[in-house]
Amino acid sequence: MKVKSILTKREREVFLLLVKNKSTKDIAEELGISEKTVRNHISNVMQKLGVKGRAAAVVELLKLNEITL
Amino acid sequence: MLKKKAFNRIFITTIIFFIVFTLYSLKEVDKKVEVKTNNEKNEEVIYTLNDDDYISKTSVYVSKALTLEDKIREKLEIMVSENNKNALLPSYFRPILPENTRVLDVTVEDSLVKINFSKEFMDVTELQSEKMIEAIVYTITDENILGIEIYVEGAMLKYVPHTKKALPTILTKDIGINKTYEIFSSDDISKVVMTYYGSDENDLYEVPVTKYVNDNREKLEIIFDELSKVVLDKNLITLLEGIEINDYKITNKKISVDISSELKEEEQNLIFTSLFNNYDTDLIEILVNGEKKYEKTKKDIEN
Repeated sequence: MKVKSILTKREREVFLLLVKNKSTKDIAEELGISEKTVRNHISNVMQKLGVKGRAAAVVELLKLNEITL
Repeated sequence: MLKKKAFNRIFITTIIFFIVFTLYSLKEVDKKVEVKTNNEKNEEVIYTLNDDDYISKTSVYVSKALTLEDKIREKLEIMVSENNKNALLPSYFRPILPENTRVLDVTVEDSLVKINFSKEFMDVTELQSEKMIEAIVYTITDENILGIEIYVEGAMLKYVPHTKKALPTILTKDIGINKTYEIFSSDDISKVVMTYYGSDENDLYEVPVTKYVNDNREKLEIIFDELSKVVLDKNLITLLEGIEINDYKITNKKISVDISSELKEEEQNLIFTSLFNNYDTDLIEILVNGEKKYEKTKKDIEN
């Protein structure tokens, strides 16, 4: 039985590209979605984690083992 | 009369001879027992808490006659609090598994170990829970055992106890140890596994720390910088001072780094261990101003 993640599949894809130094524009192009959608995914994750800022979201996701480097 | 005197002399001489012979034999037996006892134990690595709450590397002596499964069980039992085996830990270290935790089962399949703990395993505090997992993983994994699975009363452990931190199915050293997060931007994040020293007055021992930093330099540069810092948190010792990198070359199989001055053995160990923590390489050589001085293979570090 898999561990239930707090991230959706798309949210995880966005953050995995974010930690690889991809810009919002790069992420949008790579995933075939709009830049606004990328920003919405990032914003949703920050809300779920109760943090402000992308860096804080990355730290929390690393601590939770939701993403790895 | 003469006969009696002679007999007495012979008797006394025989008694003396017997006593001397007995004493000599006992000494020989003691020697054999002593040699046998030294040969029966192997020094085994254990990671557990130091006085500053870092999971640190130390060692204990474990019977050579044990099977691999029993050796793993023995090491874990030494790590259980309030266990009579704790006495085997050096004085500056303390156990991290909760009191009364039992190792119900250990199985080894190829390079994977499955460990089943009793329910008392979950009595760990939230504060200690992640460190406990790290200590177990670092203690059990080595050059032959690449990953472990942890079960509690037969159920696989999916989260760090009392947290929402998910655990991979197979735990390896990739989970990190004594983790720190110095991240202020989502750009240029690097994960670097450092080795520092802790000190127990008489000896230096290794303290591994997984650092997440905003730094886009090659990890080798980050490592040397970090080991050159004079002041660190909580009694972590770095030793390096005034060492500069002249040049370095990194290939698949070998890392070569040229530095500005010679190193003591303790300083070499920190550099070699930190580099091998971060690079999957077979050989690291250190030159001093162009002259090859020190060299280690991955096997040298693991032993």
